[in-house]
Amino acid sequence: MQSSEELKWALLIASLAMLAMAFCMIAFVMYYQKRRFEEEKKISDIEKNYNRLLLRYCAELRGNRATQDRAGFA
Amino acid sequence: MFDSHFAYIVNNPISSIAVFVTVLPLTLTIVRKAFFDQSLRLLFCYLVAKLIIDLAMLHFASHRTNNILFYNLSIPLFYALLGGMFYFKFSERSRRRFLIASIIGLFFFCAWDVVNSNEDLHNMREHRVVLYSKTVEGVLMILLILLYFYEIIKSLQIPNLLTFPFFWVCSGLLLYYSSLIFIAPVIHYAYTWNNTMDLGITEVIPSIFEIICALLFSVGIYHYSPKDYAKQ
Repeated sequence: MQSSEELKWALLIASLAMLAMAFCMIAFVMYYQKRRFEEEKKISDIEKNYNRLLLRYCAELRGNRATQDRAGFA
Repeated sequence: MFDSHFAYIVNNPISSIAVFVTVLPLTLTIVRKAFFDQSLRLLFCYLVAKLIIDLAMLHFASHRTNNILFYNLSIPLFYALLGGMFYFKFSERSRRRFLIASIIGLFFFCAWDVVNSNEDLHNMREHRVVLYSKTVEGVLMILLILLYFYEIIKSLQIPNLLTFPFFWVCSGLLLYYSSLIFIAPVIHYAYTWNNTMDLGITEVIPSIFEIICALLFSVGIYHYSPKDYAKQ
C-alpha cells in the first residue's frame, strides 16, 4: 500500500516536471525566434544604412571629380 | 436508451469532456477550410478518427465491456496521422525518411507489444493495454516536435509564431505527450478488471491535457487563413 502511494506521487511529480519542461521549451522557442528576428532586422538596418552612406560617398566623389574636370585638373 | 451513457459521463466528467471537445477543432477545420493545407488535412483525419474511436470506447465503457482493443489499435494509426503531418513540414530528406521508417517501425512494434502484453489474445474480456508502445509513440512525437522547432528557429521563415497554426498544433501535442509519457507504462497495470492500483489524480492528467491540446488545436486552426495557404 505504501509503495503504491509512493509510486502515485512519483508519477505525479515526474509528469509535472515533464510538463514544466514542455512549457519552458515552447516559451524558449517563442522567445528565441523573436530575438533572432530582431537581430536580423538590426543587421538589415545597419546594412541599409551602410549602403546608403556608401552611395552618398561615391556620389560626392563623382561630384568632386566632375568639378576637378571642369576646372582642368584631370 | 442512453441512460448508461449519461451515467458514465456523469461519473467520468473529465474523460468525457476530452471525448466531446474534439468536435470544436473539427468544426473549426470545416468552417475555416483548413484542410487545404496538407498537414492540417491529416490533422482533420486524425480528429475524425479520434472522435469515432473515443465514442466507440465511451459506448463500450458505459456498457462495462472491455474497450482496450480500440486504445491499442489507435496507437499506430494516430502516430501515422500525426507524424505524417511533419512529412510536409520537414525540408531535409533524411528527416522524412526517418519519419516514414518510424511509422512503419511503430506499426510492427505495436503488433509485437499487443501479443507480448496479452497472454491469451482471443480472450477479449481480459485484453490489456500495451506496455511500451504508447511510451515509444510519445518519445517519437516529442522528438519530431523538437526537430520541427529546431527547423523553424534555423530557417527564420515565420515572423510571428503566435499567428502560425502549426506552432499551436505542435504546442498542444508537446503538452499532451509530455503529460502522458510517464503515465503510459503504468496504465498497463492499472487498467485491468481486478484493478488494485488506484492512480488518483495522476490518471486524470492526460485527459486534462487532451482537452488543452484540443483547445490549442482550435486556436491554431482559428488562425489559419486560406489566403495565406501558399505562404505557409
